[in-house]
Amino acid sequence: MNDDELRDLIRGVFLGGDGAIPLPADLDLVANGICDSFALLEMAMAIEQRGGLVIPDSDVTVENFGSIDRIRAYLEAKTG
Amino acid sequence: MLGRTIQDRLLAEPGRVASRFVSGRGEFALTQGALCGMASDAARRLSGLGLPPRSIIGVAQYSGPALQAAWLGVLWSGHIPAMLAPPSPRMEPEKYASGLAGIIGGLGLKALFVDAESGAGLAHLRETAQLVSADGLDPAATLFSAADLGADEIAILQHSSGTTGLQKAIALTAAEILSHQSAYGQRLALSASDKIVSWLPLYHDMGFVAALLQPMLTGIELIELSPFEWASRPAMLLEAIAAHRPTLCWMPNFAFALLSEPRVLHSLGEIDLSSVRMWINCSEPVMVPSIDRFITALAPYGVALDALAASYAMAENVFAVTQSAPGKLGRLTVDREQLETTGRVAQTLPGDGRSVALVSNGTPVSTTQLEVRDEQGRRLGAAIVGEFHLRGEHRFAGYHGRADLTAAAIDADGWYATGDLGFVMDGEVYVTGRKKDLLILRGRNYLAQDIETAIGDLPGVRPGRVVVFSLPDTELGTERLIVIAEAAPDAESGTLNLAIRQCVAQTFDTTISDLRIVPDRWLIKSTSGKLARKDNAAKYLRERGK
Repeated sequence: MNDDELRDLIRGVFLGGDGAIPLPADLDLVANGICDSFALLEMAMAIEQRGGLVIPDSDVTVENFGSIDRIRAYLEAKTG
Repeated sequence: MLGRTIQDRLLAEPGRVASRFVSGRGEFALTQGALCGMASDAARRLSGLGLPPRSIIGVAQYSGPALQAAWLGVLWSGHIPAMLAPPSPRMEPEKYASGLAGIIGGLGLKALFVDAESGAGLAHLRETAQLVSADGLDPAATLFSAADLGADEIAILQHSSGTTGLQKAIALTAAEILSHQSAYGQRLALSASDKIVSWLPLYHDMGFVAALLQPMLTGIELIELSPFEWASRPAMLLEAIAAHRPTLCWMPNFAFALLSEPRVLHSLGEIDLSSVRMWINCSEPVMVPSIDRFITALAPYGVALDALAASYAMAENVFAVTQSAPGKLGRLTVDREQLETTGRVAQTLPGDGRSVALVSNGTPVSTTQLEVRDEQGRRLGAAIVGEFHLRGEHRFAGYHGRADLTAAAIDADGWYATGDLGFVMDGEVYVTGRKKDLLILRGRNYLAQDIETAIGDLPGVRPGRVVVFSLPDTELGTERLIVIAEAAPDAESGTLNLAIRQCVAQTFDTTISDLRIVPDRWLIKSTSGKLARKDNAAKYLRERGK
């Protein structure tokens, strides 16, 4: 998934699809109130569905999913 | 007794100005003698209807001499007046009439005073209550001798809130009203040199007591502005102050915020507002940022910090439960997290990011006892948040026609459970919220107005135009935080959305579940001018369901 696809996914899951909200790739999603750490799982599940991959719950951390940059890096590492 | 007391006072100085009505169209001064004449005419019109004694009569008129006179006329004729909201200009006439029909039925109104404007579109209500015109009341009418009722008979009905629809009407006796005025006047250090300025609607308890009963009972001059006209041009209040030099002004917190806005102040020349010795913040929680902004913005016009005052008031106590004494508005900075999680007050230093500033509402008036109790009804000590319970000389007699509600609200020892939360420290009363406005998000308690205040301070949000509430979410097993904010005209909604989310996350360590940035006037205000959380939550749910 590229940055724009991730951006759309985050907007869909947390922001009611609101496309006007700016989401720079390095924006810390939890610190900026887009979601909280409890909700990262919801996002990971959406990524699983969209990307056709399995993400272990233990991987669902702020370090891996706390920003678009981090998610992209995680997915790249995961899919090689 | 109430009607006779007011009549005696008006007759003592017939040439004295009772009220000055200030509007964009000009000014009009009403003397005590002319008010006496008009009220006598109104009393005579009502007496001619042959209603049973002690009937309840509604008064639904726009601000002006005829409104004061009609209300007084009801009292003098021996009936029981109930002040009701006139139609809001924004309101559809059918909706207003339907709400009024509900009130007529609920209160058992026999007749309704209206003026030409407020009565338009109400003709069909004649089937249930007689409509009496308050137009053309004669200032020179011969005196109608006021009915002399007992001090402990129900004298008036007052609604617990200004919202229309089915309401609880509070029954008050003459003894309660006179006792309140005596104690409240003492706390305010009222004197013959005082003058009151007001844009408040008279169907709301603050306007009703501060700007109707109080001037009538004390002879203090009132400078009155129409609430609707004021809302469209708030600066007219400041111009009226500069022109007439009043000393006392009651307003809800939002007005302090509004009057601090550059868009309100930009047109003012070099005016002097220093005559006001008390700006009394009342009837919605006092918010530190609002009064700070007010002082900063209006200091150049002569508004001094020690002129700020606050009162915790409710119709159930006639009005004031507490009132800060002139020049003595207390403040505290406390640990927010501790307040929210334990309900205990720990003083801290301002500006450490975990603190919240609170303003005292003063000490209880001499006639009122106040206790703070926990949920089990146990009395709490100082500096612990609990529910305020009160009793005293002018606690209301009960809800009209609702013995069940009265019994539920007032216990056997006469204590009334207010539903308001707060604490007492050094004798000063601090209000922190209401039971029903408590949000519980993931096991943590939040006070809705704290979040509203924080968001309301952000650039791009219309000051004070934010509503926060929570909705239970069984999926999450907690409540979801919903925020609806009105954007300033130049705000970019995406950027603002992010700024609001960031503010809530950073300040409260919680996350907004749904944030709606909405246009000007999306949010519903009650007729008393407060933002109504419950109504806005209902509107939110309706729109989401579409």
